[in-house]
Amino acid sequence: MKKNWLLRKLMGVILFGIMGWPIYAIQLELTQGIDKPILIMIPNFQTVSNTQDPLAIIVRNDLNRSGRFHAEVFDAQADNQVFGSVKAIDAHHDAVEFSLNSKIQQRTLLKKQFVIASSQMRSLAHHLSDLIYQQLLGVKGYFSTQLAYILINRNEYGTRYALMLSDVDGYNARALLTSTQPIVSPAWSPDGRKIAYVSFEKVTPSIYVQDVQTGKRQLISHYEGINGAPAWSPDCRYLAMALSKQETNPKIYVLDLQSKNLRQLTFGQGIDTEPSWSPDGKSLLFTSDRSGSPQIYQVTLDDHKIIRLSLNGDYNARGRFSPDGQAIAMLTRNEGYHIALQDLSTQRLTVLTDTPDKSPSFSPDGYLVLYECNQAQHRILRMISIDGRIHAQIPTPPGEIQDPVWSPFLS
Amino acid sequence: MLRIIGILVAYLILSACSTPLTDEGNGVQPYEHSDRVRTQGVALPDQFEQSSLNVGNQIYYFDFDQSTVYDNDLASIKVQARYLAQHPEVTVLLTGNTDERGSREYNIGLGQRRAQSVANLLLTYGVEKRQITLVSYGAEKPCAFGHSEEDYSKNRRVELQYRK
Repeated sequence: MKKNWLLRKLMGVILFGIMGWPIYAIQLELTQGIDKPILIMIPNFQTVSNTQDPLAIIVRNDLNRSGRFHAEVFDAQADNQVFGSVKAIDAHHDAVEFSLNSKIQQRTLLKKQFVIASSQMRSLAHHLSDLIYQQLLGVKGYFSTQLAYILINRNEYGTRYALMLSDVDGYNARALLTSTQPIVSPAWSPDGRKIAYVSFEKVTPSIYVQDVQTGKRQLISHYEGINGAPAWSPDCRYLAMALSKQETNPKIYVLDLQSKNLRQLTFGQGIDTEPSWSPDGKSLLFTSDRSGSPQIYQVTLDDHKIIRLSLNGDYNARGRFSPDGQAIAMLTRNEGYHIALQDLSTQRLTVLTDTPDKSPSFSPDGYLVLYECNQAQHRILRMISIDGRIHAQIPTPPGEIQDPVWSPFLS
Repeated sequence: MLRIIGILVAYLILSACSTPLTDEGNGVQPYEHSDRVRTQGVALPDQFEQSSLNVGNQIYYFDFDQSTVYDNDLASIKVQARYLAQHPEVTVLLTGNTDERGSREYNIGLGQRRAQSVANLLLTYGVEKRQITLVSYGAEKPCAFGHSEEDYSKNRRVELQYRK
């Protein structure tokens, strides 16, 4: 801890500890309603001294928010039933027992015991949600992942920018970086260990990579002009960036983080920016106005071949591949600026939101999209499922939200 | 008449937008911003005073999606350029800005184009490249915080600021 403190002081950056923001529970809003949710009964866990069980409510909220479950304290019709108990071992530790049972099959599907520090209660709850999700759906749960976003507060003394991290339900919000100058384009490394971002603290923008656990950071790029839009390759070895260098317009470059070799990928006139890697690591999406207005293009790494992917309208930008590579989320202009999904096999474009929203980011399982929502003059954090059935606002500390990014699976 | 009002409004906006920046002691250094305006007498017709034709901090506005400097701003840019050319120790910061619509990093690219347009004119009129620092903030440093067309037009700007 002491070493970290020294490092932080040296870097000249203030890192705040965990902040206890007043949090309200996420309000889940159903548009069409859940289609055939899995019913599950999760009563409050037994506690010895009649203290409030914190776990069950978090698990119920997690599963309900996923859109795939309907979790209640009591449900006579639910086949799946959870039982649990929490026992204090000492002042700071608890023993937790948990089981998931099938009423129909008359057997226990999962049975686990944990000994945890009391401060880890929320993390454990999310882990239980992951276990249930994986057991009943056969796919990895995302409840232990993290969200990163920029938080902006303006008052008469100036503006404060913070790069924030939080749990998937908005709790545990803490700042990785605070600054009096803008921070933009945070990007999680695919191994979940680091975040790259653009900071204007040196007057002109520079790209940093910061270790999430230690807070230690490294200056990656501070060329003349624009240094923007960092994007990690799936193997974490390369960082794609938008650099203008001596020119006016930025181009796409790829930096080998090990060898420091810098390779220019795009050329010519026009603004090329917002690179984003394909899941197979063989190509990148990028935004370019080479045709006159911004569109989304794909460049293959081995032969530099460029094709245009966005087909609808005259403004499409900030493309992001879905985790399975089958679709792209983007910002499109169609009677206002909205988030849209383009299915890469049918080329059909589905507009996801009806407010002027930005910065879509897929959940690691690809079912949900996190985004910056412009609502009633305030920018808030919301997520929506790709089929539009589930909406939720994610609570955040006071301030305007920008550039949210969902972490990869973290384990 | 309208032109005078326009210039006065621009001047008011300029004063409203300038915020004294101090090092808040957290180690993140803001750029140095000079509130002092250097003035010098410029031969003008007697009818009116135009501050944009004085040597001093300026704001130049742009049309939506455009990075071409207005014809009306050329005279002001020329005045700044002449002063800079005659005082090679003086430097300026040009910041390019956009309104909030559209994608964030693309807007940074647009802001850069706008700042570069002004920079190119300064260079043409004899300013040296090393006297100019260029930053694009895209939509990150708005001047007006509303969402009307009027707010948007106030944000589409390049600010020319003399550095200490």
